[in-house]
This record gives sequence, C-alpha cells and structure tokens, in this order.
Amino acid sequence: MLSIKDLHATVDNKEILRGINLEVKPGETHAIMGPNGSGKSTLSAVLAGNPAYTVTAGSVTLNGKDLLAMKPEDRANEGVFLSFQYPVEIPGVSMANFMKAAVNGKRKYQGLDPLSASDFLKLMNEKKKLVEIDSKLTNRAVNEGFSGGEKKKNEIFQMAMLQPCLRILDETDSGLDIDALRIVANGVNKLKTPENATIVITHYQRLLDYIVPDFIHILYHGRIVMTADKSLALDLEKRGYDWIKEQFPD
Amino acid sequence: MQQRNHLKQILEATPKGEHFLYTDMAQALAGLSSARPAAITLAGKPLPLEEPEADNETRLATLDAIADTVVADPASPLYLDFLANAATPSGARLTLAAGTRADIAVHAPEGDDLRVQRLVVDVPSLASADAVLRISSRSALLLQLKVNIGQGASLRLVVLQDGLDDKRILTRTTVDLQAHSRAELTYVNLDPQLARNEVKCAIHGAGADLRLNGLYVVAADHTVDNETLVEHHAGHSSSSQLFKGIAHDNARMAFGGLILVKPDAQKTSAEQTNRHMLASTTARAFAKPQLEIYADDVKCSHGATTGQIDPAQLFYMRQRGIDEATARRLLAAAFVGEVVDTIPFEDVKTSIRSRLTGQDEASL
Repeated sequence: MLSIKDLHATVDNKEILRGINLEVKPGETHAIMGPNGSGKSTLSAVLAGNPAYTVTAGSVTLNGKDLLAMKPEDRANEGVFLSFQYPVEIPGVSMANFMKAAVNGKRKYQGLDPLSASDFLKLMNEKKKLVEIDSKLTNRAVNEGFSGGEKKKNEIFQMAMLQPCLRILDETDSGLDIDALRIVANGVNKLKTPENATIVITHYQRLLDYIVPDFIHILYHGRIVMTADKSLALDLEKRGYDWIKEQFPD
Repeated sequence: MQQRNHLKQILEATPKGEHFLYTDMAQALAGLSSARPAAITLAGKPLPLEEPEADNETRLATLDAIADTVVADPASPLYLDFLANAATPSGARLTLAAGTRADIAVHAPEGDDLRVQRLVVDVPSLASADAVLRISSRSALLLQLKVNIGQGASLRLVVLQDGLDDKRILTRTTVDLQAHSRAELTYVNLDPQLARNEVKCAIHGAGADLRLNGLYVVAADHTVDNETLVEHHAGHSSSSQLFKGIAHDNARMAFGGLILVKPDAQKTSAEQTNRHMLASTTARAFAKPQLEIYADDVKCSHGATTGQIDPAQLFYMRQRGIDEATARRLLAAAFVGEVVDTIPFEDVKTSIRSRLTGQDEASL
C-alpha cells in the first residue's frame, strides 16, 4: 500500500530525514520509535504534505500513486490520515461545519454528490457512539478549549468519519491519562480493517500494549536503523536508546 | 446651472489630506456628471420625502458659499455635505415605532450620476426599535443618515451592503444618544468596489451605552474604509467598538477610529478594537486607532492588530481533505464570525454566514 524509498527531507535547510525506506501492506500495523529529534514527527508531516518540509530526494507511493506530487488535501482524499500530536484549535469553525466540509471534500474528490444534511447527521451520530466521544464536543468549535484527552478523541472521531486507508498516529499517547489512552486505542482498533494500515509513532511502549504492532522500526538520525517484532518495545523500555546510539555513531 | 458647475469643479478636484487618507475620493467620484436623488423604500414602498426647509434661492446662495470654501479645500469634510445638499434639498424622515423593525432600502441604479439620499431616523423616548438598512449601488451612492435616539430609548440597526456587484458607496452617519439610551449599530460590507462609512456618534446623557461594530470583506482591487468618531459628552456612559475585516487579492481595507472624551464625561468607559486579516501577500490593511481624553476618571482602551491566516490551521484542514480555497474561506468566515454573532437579526445573520462560507448553513 505505502512504499517509501530513500526519502530525504529538510526543514529550514536542515536535513532531518536521511534515506527512509519502508513498505507497509494492508492490514499491517507498524510502530516507529526512536529518541527525541530522530525525525519521527518529520516523517509523518512529510507523508501528510506539510508545506513547512521540503523533500529533497526519494519517492513515496500510495497504492501505486505518487504521493509526493499531490497537494495535502488530495493525499487526505486518497486515504492518508494524520492524527496530530498537537491537534490545532480553530475558533469560529464548528465541528459540524468542519466535518461536513471534510466529508464532502472527499466525496467531491471521488466524484460523488455531497451528503444530505440528514445523512450527514446520521453518520456523525453513528461515529460518535463508535469512538465514545461526548456528544457536546461536536457542537463546539474545532478543538477550541478541548482538554488534551478530548483533542485526541476528536482525532479518532475524525478518523472514523473519514475512513482512511493509511492511518498515521503521531504521538497519540502524549497528554493522555490511562482511561483516555484506552478509549483512543480502542477506537483505533475498532476502526481497523484488513484493508487499512496503521503507522504508530510513539516514545513509549505503553501505547503498544493497546495497539499491538506487527513491526517496530527504530528511527535514528533520519534513518530506520533497526526493524523487529513487538518484543523490541519491551527491550527499549528496559534498556533505553543508548545501546542503539552506540551502535550507530553519526 | 450654477450648482452644476460647482459640482463639476468639485468632482474634478483630487482630495488630499488626512480626512480621506485611505480613500481616493477622486477615484470614488470619477466619471460622475451630476447628482440626483437615490431611491429609498420602506418595506418595499417608496418613502415620501420632506419639503426643503428654506426656499430654493436661499439654498442655492448658501451652497455657493459652501462651495467656495469647499473648492478652496477639496479635502474638507464639508465636501460631501455640499454634494448632498446640492442634489437633494429634501430628505426622508422616519419615526420608528416601539417594538417594530423597519426594513429600509436605499438603491443607486446604473448611470453616471452620483445618487444621493438623506434619511433622518428618530427613536422616541423609551421606545425600543429595530432597523435594517440595505444599501446597494450600481453606480455611486452617497447616503447621509442621521439617527436621534431619545431618552431611555434603544435602537438596533444594521447597515448592510451584501450585493454581489456593488460599486461605489459612501455613507455618513451621525448618531445622537440621549441619557440612558442604547444603540447597537453594525456596518457590514461584503466586497463592494469601494465603500467608505463615516460614523459619528455623540453621547449626550448619562447612562447611555453604544455598541458600534463593523465587518468587512474585500477582494480584487476593492477598498473598504471605516472611519468612526465616538464622542462622550456626558459622564457615566459607555461605548464599545469592534471592527473586523479581511482583505484578499490586491484589496485594501482601512479603519480609523477616534474616541473623544470631553471634560464633563467622568466615569466614561470606552473601548475600541480593530482586527484585520490579510488573506494574500498583496492585500493591504491600514489602521489608525486614536484616543483623546480630557477627563481624568475614565476607563478607555484601544487595540488594533493585523494578521494572516494561520498556516497550522490551514494545514490541519487540508489534511482532512478540505481543499485550500474552501479552508481559507472557512477560516476567513470564522475570523469575522465574532462580529456576525453580535448581529441581533437571525435572517441577516444567516444570509451573511452563507455568503461568507459559500455554503447553505440553514440546513445544519
């Protein structure tokens, strides 16, 4: 589904990604771990098309299509969903209007007519129940005044509404208490299908107790330096990253 | 004939100077050959005009006198008064009945005349009334509006320009508030070719409260200019102003606001806020917030900011599949939404919102 080959990217002329290679197949869950500053969040931003980052070399294809040539909204409509580490507050734009624009943006991209108001409300109510999000949240402006946990739940709600094929969770566990973490992870698991794939970016092993990965990749200095199964997370929790840093002095 | 010559002279003059710093009056009035009355209606029916106060000979003589000074100083604020007087000796007068809403429309049809209208609105003591004044112009319109709000009376007024192809519009409003009266005024301009609103509010009695708000969106090479003057002549009165505008493309927007607190106006509370959003790198915004305070026990503040669309918000929306143009439109509508929310009339609110977001929100 997703194929990343020798991806290099810079921000403010500083090279952050220095040759990433990654293959993700439908149904798989990949965890990306690594010390601070290794390029994890940059990778998610580059895949989503954040204009602050510049790709200097390499290729990324999604279902055979050149992802890097697409605008951020087209990538989203092709099925890339980024759950933000820090979801953005948009005062003055209601959740309902925001979601309506997003759902109908995707339908327009697919050549479908916009949803009627009643079908849209039905869809919202159905997905709200699925991800255990408080009904009141969707009556407010996008993320405005939401707690850290509410913002992350809202990300999962949006994921439920948009049904992406590639789900990228950027530090979804940061700022969550245990209960919120469980609800968010449950949402991700409920929305998992044999057709979609998940990339989980995290510092900690804790999230991976809930969202169990098929592979764990260690990102260090802008490269994937190690790939293993889920037992690697436990190792890292015990031993930290120093032994990896020693192996790959740069 | 004499009148026409003076008008022509004035139209050919290029006003310079501080009063019209942000509005090119020569451009605003270019190509106009004469001035004629504009159409004014109340609930769709023509509003009768009052007879001129003085006889015509006297009036023309007075105009000559004004014209001499005006032509000598074309940037004088008297200039537009002169135009109004020259074109329409008469004007409409409307007394608002308590508990009613008046829907007034002023329209300038196509042509190369300056269309002029004068309207006096009275709100009698202790009455509460609403008014929506719709303005449209296919050529050039000058509206002189005088609002008298009696003791203990209250008025909610929206001056609304929301046509898709409005040309040049100049409004000059004076509002007089007596003791314990209240006024909520909102000026809305949705992308006219050129609009300038001059609003002068004077508070004459204690306990009066003024809310003066403005919302404007400009695109292409269009201009919107709001100039306000709020005078506190009496103590224990309050005023607040909120003007928010967005400029796209090569458009220009300006806000100039002066709060003037006279020596007798102790315990005045006055605030003024102006926020501009530049939605393109070539749009321009001008702001001139001013305070002039001659009393020593008052609470006054002003603030003006100019910003841009937040790239983080824009990217977040695009990541959800909302195309850039739609995302920008939603963010721009959200920016001025704070002013839309203050409009007391649901029908007006809904029509402005759907213009701003480009979607029919009534269904949500």
